[in-house]
Parts: sequence; C-alpha cells; structure tokens
Amino acid sequence: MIEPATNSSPEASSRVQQLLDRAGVIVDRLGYPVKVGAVTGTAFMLTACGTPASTENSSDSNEVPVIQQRAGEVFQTVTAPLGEVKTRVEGFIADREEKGRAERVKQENDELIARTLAYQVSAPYNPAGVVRDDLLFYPEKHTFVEEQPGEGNYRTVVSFSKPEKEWSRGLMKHVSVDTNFHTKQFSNSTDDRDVFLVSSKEGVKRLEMERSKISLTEITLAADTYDLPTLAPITSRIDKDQRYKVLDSFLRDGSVDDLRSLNDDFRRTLQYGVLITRPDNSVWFPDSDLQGWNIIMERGGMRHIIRARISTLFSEPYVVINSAPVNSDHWKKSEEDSEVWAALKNGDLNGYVTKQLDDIHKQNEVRAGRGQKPLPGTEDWEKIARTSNFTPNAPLNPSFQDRLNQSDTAKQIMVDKARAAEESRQS
Amino acid sequence: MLQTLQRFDPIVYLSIDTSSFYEDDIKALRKGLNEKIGQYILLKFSQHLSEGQFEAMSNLTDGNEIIRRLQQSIPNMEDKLQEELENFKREYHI
Repeated sequence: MIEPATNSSPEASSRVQQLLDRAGVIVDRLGYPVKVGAVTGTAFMLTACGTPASTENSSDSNEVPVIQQRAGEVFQTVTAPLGEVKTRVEGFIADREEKGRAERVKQENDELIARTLAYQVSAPYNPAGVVRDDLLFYPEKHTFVEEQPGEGNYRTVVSFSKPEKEWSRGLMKHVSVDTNFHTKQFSNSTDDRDVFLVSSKEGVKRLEMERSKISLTEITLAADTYDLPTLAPITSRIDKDQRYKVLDSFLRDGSVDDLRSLNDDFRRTLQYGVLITRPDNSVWFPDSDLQGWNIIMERGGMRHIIRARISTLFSEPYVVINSAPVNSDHWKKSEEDSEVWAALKNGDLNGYVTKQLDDIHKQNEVRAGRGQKPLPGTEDWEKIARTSNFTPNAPLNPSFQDRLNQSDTAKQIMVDKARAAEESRQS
Repeated sequence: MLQTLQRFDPIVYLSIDTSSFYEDDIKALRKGLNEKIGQYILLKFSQHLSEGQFEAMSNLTDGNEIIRRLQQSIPNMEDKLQEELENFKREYHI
C-alpha cells in the first residue's frame, strides 16, 4: 500500500513537480517515437553514478519515494516498496505515455499525412490544402497552421521540410512543447530559415529556425525579445508565392503593398461596402464573422470560392486561405443551408446584407444561450446594415455603385467563362 | 560506475535551490531528475545504436547491462555522456 510521505508540504511538492516537469519537457522535446522507460533511465543513471538503486532514495532499503501521485491539484510524494514502485511506475508510464499521448499523436499524424497527400492529389488548383477543420497544411512549405479551439484567433504554426517519415516527429515535438506557448505566427522567412512569432505569458518573441533543423530546442535557443512595433510587413513569403498574389492588391482604389495595408483595406471594405470586384474578375465580400473574405474567382477554368481569413494578432495580419471549386462538395452544405449564399448568388445585395445580419443574430442567440459573447464584428455588420448604401430608397455612393456595376459584369463574365469552359470540356 | 558521473548529484549539477524543501522532497526530486536525465541521455545515445538495439535497451532495468551495451556501441562513451549532460543542463536553464 502506498502512503503519502509525511515529511512534505503541498507547496514544496508542487515546486518539486514543476522542476521535474521542466526536465520532462526536455525529454519530450526530443520527440523520439521509442520511449525509454522510467525505470531504465533511473537504473542507468544510478549505476553510472555508482549508487545502488535500493539505497539511493530512502534510508529504508526496501522503500523508495518516487511516485508523484495527483491528489486534487497537488502532487504528493509517496513511498512504497521498490517492487511495487517499479510496477506502478511502469504501469503509469504505459498508460499515460504509450497508450495516451503517443498513440493519439501518432494516429493524428498518420491521418494528417494521409489526408494531406490525398488532398494534394485531388485538388491541384487549391492554394492551400484543408486537412481538417482546425488544421491547414501548406504543401510547398510543409507548414502546419493550427487553430486552437477556445483560444480565439490564436494559431500555432510549425514548419519543416523533412521527408515524409520525419513529419510526424516534427509535429510531435510541436505538440509536446506547445503547451508553453499561446501563439506562433510566421513572419518573414528566407530560403533557408523560418521565422516565427511566439506569444507566451512571458511576452512575444521572434524565433528563427534553420529550415534544415527541426528541433524546437534550437528555436528556443535562438529566441530573443522582439520589439513588436518594428515588425516588418509579412511580404517575403507572399511575394514568392504566386498563389498569394491574389491577396496583394485586391482593391483598385487602394493599392495594397503588403499584408499590413491589406488588413487596413479590409477594414475600409467594411465601411464602404461588402461586394468588391477586382480587375481579375474576382468578387470579394467579407466573411460572416468579419475575420476575412469570401472570394469568388476563376482558377483553371473553374469558378472557385475562396475563403481568406485574416488574423489581426499583434496588428500583424496573417492569411489563411481555403479554396475549393464552387460546385464541389466542400461547399455543398453551406450553399444548400444558407439563405445568405442564395441571396448573394442572385445578386441581391441588400438581401445579402439583411440575411447575413439575421444569420449573425441567430448565431449570437445560440452563443448567448451557451454564455458566449456575440461573434466578433457583429456591431460592424449592424453598422453596414444601417449604411445608406444598403437602404433601398437611398442613393448609393457613386464609387460604390461603380463597384457594384463592375461586380455584376464580373459575375456575368465568370458565368460566361465557366459555361464556355464547361462546353469546351464536353466537346 | 563511470568516472564522469562519480558522486554526480543532479540537484547540485543543475544548481537547484532546495533550501526550502523537506528531505523527502529533495529525495524525490533527485530521483526524478536522475530518471529524466537518464532517459534524455539514452535517447540521445540512440543515434549511435541500431533501431533494434535501442528498442531492446529501452526497457532494460539492469544498469550495468545498459552501460555495457552502450560501451560496446559508442566509442568514447564517457566523453559523449559529459557532452549530453551539458546539453541537458543548458536546456534546463533556458
């Protein structure tokens, strides 16, 4: 029977546990799929030190105080006969590490890789592969972006360029360390280095990692305090990638030089209107929660709906793109279910705004029932709905009217092109 | 026993202040640190072993046998051990 040690305090035990957890994190960072048993690690060290295991930890050669048992939120030191300790430690390790985290992570990684590869093959036009609802994967960069449920807009990013077999290891390291951080966000990257912004309770840091080196340990070693106001615009990664060019200058009357001004334009969009046409005939309108755009555009002879989401953490915009052909199953549910989409596709702008706001209010009612705050941007949408631009009897702002006209034209062009492309394929 | 680790105490090595700890807590801390450092070093040493060798070693409970196998496969094992100890210490104090 294991009894709590009497010569201990909850505070001291908690501190001991913190010190041990720190050591445990270092081991976890290694991210090896094969675990070294706790007994093995101890036996190696004690033998190497020349200290018999049976006398190292207790004045009683038959008992060792080794197990940290959770009692509420307090870890207590307990003592037990050595044989029982070994059994319990091995059982504990097996349950927690082998069957718990390791298997779960491995399963998730296997699924992630399988679905990613499948997606790459099936959707060659897409700028980003949607791996699962809360995890995006950028094939060309081997970059994962993870939205953390319940953490608002916080995202985590890990990027690496090892062969497929190494991906899971990288992600495991990421998962094991991530509890220390709230947010990672990539900024400027060069050919051989990735740069992350990491926000933690200790503040925001700029982290650099050589792409050839995967260890998060090295990220940590390279960390230094970063002065946020001097952050450079996130341009290098965008400029290099043709697939992001669509984001570089989406407003004709407000040329966008980088993503920072892109974000400003997004806010202006909310003030001036919700439907925008660009010279490439794409049509842009804000997403329902005002965290990004829905974009309808043509790619590869097919109309696509693109959802571009903007993170405004630290005033630094960060774009996640999700794209699929208009008629693909990916959008099927939302299109069938949404009156908002129907209004938009029919060109009923006022109806679109009204229904969008109704939809937001319905969602807010549900959220209120759960004790959650209204969706971000609700007030902005209410403001848009009150804007004279969208009042049936009020004249539209001339420039906005121009955009609407362009939008109508653009939509027709897209429809015509899509029809022509379809006819071409059929013939 | 390895010369490198003669009278090695992880608490002293990592410069942890235990002045406010009870003796039982210090023992538990020493034991836990030994466990973690041992795991760390063995994992780092795994790059010198074949997958099969490492998996076989990862569950051994006889310290002498572990050291014997490592010395067979890793030249200058004690030097590398010292190096990994330094690595662990540096990471611990980040």
